[in-house]
Amino acid sequence: MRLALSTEAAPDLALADLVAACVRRGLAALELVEGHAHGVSPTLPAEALERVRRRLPADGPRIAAFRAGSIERATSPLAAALSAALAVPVVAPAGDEGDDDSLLEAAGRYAAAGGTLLVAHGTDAGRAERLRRVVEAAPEGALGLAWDVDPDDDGLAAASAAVLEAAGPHLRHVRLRGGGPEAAGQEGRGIGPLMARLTLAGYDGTLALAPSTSRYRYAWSAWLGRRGGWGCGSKSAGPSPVRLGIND
Amino acid sequence: MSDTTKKPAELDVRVIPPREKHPTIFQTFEALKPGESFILVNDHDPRPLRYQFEFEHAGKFVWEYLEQGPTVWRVAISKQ
Repeated sequence: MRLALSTEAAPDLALADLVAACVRRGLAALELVEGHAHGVSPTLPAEALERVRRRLPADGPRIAAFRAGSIERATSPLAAALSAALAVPVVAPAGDEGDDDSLLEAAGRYAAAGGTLLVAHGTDAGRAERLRRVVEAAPEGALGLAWDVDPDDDGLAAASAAVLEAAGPHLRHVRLRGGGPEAAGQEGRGIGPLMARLTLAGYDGTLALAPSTSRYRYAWSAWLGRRGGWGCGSKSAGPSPVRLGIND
Repeated sequence: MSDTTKKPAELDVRVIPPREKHPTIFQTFEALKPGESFILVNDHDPRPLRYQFEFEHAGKFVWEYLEQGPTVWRVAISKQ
């Protein structure tokens, strides 16, 4: 299992700064979310995607996944080309069950391009099982599964074993809302049992950490070792204009 | 998911709430069959955990450091 940082935790950081934050925290990979300041996008020309590949240090954090804004964007030929060019899967929420047939069409595009699309489900074993059947009907390697874990779901502790079994060997990416600076406040929500089950199932994909809500943005910023941006004025070089008058 | 006979799976406890870490590690260990192992990943040297293993599972485990900081510690824990 490789621990990854989702850019949800730092949407304003450039790619080099994200890599530095991963190194500081010992994180092995990045989940790039479409539209964030890293700048990676399906609309980038091939030579720009090649520059992205070259910019990543050979012995440093890798890109674990590119998360598209919607399943429609993820199933476009441009997204399939990005997946192939960067050799990373594109992840997107699965959408409605009625649209599962369109996933097979997209799988054809990904297979032709040499990329991989991971369709994300929540903590719902039935949905994971139905998506698994779609994955198994697609060209090998073109489709896979991702699991978006929200510890605020009441059923996580009870349902995680069933979801893992339903997804089977097709589970490639897990995104956890929490961890990082939020871990201490997430007791009793099923994260420990989830991690144990992933280990015992031999899961060797990525686990991307993302803030549970935007309320934790500053906590994540501090956890990632970012400096400045707090607006407290403490960087001022001159004497403080404020006098408390205590010893005057 | 992978074939665990080729490469032990990792249990990264950095995301686990602090009070749940040791119970999770011991539950994972207890679920192993003899000869199986997992790799514990942590953000500090898990030496107190080793003492607890020695107290509760003396002679039944093997502890091998794979990486010792400064950011990440990785320990292969095998069941004998």
